[in-house]
Amino acid sequence: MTVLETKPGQEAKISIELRDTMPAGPGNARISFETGIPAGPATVAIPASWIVR
Amino acid sequence: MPTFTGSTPSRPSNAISLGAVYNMDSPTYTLRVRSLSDKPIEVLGVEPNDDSVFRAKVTSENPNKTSWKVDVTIQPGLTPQTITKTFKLLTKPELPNSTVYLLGTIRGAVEVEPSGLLPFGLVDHGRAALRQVTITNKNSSLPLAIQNLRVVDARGQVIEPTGDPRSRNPRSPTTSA
Repeated sequence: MTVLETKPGQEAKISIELRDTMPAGPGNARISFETGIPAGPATVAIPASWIVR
Repeated sequence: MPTFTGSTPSRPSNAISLGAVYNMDSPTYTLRVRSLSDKPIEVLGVEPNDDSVFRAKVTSENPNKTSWKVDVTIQPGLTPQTITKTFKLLTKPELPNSTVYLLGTIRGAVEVEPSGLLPFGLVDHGRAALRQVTITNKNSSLPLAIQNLRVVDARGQVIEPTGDPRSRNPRSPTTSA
């Protein structure tokens, strides 16, 4: 994962790479992070899914 | 007969749309009630006015009581959702149609795109796939600071980054393999 603050304090981009060593089949995970802004929400969780064939 | 001036009506047909309301904000919207004739009209208040989200305050705009303003303040709460409010203007003389509909959409001060599932879709074995999440600070005076970034798999186990250890708590551009 790579975090880039594109506009410091205002905007950030997280690049998430599914690695080439992932085994075949379906998979899912949850990506979470804190924003530093109470009730902004303070914590964000994003589900991710994939199928390696 | 009074007229209501505000944003473009949307839903129901005569509803006044307040647009997006950010959850760390407390905006006030002004609606105006005007007499279209020379006869004065008195706006005594609104009913009900005991809502924890919407609160209205009525004031006269001129001495001859032909124009009134209704300031509606919103305390939106924290949960992103659509909020609606219906209240009746109490007027003298009483008007046949004095019901006001308001609606707004509460948004978090931080917006994430995509907001739901991050789909990688079908990925060929042996090939990497890259997706991006954008986080935007829409309305907070506090700075956005991404911290404690982590990935948890379906079994609840934390997937540790295998590259640069700084990516476990990134504050600056870092990369993990």
